Amino acid sequence: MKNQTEILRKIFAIIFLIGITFFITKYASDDIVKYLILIPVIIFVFNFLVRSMPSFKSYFLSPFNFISGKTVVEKQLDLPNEIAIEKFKEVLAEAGFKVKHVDIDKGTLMATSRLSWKSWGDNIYIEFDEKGVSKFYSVSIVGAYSWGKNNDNLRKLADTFESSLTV
Amino acid sequence: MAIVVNLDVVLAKRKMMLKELSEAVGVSVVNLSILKQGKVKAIRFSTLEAICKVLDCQPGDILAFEPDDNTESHRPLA
Repeated sequence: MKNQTEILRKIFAIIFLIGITFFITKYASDDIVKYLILIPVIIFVFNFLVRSMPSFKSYFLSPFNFISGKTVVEKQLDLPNEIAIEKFKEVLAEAGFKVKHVDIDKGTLMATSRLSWKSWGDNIYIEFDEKGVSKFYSVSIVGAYSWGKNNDNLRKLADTFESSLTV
Repeated sequence: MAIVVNLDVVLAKRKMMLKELSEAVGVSVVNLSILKQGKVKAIRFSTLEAICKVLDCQPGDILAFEPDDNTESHRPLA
């Protein structure tokens, strides 16, 4: 039931976007305006299609990517990488994120959040290094300004992690 | 932290693996690993009870207090 709702939500978002684009391009009189409108639409669709691919992590995290707002937090966890990764797989699922990719050797995790009224969806990237320092990134797939959603994501992750430390 | 967790000592004495304990008490292996390393913030009495039941031990066998330089040590009440 949850999956069906998620699929319907995505379909609605895509139809809405295509509808808006069609409406604007049909009634915009100048060709340049049409192309200017199409560019962000193409970028949006591209970001939407590649968001779950771990190979596009550097694209989303790039400081030159101005259309994806990002927030990063660093924390000292002092947990071995294997344990930290397993722990955060649990924490991400509990916090409502969908774990998409895990690389134990590199000490990295990737998860995605659902569409909401504040955001078209966000990507969460977590990196652990050998010194016990972890970096948490929340990236809006589209939106230079995240309306506080990225901060909310990281706060939710931190709160869920803290409460999970009661066994 | 002044509270030391000696779960690995008790597990070794009982010749039990962490995975077996995890299945017996219903706590994930990763959470028991974090407990073993003393990185948890708190332990529920229900979890402590389950661990003591399975390992046939007392809470004092698993948990110990070793004051560090920042912790003031008080004389016992008795």
